[in-house]
Amino acid sequence: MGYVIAAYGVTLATLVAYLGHLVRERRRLARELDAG
Amino acid sequence: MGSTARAAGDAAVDRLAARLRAPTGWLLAGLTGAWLVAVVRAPEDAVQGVIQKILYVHPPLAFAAYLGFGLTAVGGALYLWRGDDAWDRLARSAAEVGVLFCTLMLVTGPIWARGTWGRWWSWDLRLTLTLLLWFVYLAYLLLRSFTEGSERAARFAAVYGIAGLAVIPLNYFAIDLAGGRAIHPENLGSGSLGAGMGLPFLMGVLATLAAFVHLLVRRVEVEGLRTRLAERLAAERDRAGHEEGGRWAM
Repeated sequence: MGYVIAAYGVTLATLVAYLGHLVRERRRLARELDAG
Repeated sequence: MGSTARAAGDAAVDRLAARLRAPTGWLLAGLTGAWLVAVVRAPEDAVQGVIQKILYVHPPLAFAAYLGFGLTAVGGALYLWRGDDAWDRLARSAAEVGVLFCTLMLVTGPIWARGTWGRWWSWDLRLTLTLLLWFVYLAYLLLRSFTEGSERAARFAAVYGIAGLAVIPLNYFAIDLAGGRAIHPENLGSGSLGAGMGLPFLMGVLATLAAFVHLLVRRVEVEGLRTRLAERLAAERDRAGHEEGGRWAM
């Protein structure tokens, strides 16, 4: 069971982390564009 | 194609990405929930036991990676043909998201291998070609990051992205090419899944593809904003340079 949890856990955690990175990056760029 | 038409094309891609963000996000949330429920309820395999449930995530990650690299090639080809920066942004974004999915495929595969073969890795043809595919598109991303803003590098990357696609059919048919020496299981065919395993596998494919599309849409949007910001900074630098030149001429 540990292998299954590891496979799904690493997949979901990585995809959520990347999604969070894209959300933050989009907000930062939009703020910079608005500021100018 | 004129610069005005190109700018209109760029704006259309940005608008499309912004419009797709929310619906693909909701679709992803719904499909992920349904997929996880289907995985929990899926029957245990008679031979491998519970570890076989990695099947519902590992091959779908491979399909998403193939899609990412396919779109890198399509975006590159359209960029070479039309010269529109939006296609280059699509190619670059698809390569990054594709490498992410390929990385996860290369992580989940060894986890499954450790539990069934007793070792993390084997230099089996399928595994070796998957590693090669990952290196090919990782090199694409390194090339793009080292040559930011260069049109010549974008054209070279487009050709490289198309050529790299040759590894995908080799990778897919690696089991047949290896003959009886392959350790990796054969590609799934119709009827190769046991009773009750088809639905969780289908949900896995749909949820993973929805994740791919949603992340790609967001990545394209970020790339568009970066381009707009870089263009504005360049215009400001030009203006400052002209004003400086004007002062010296006086």
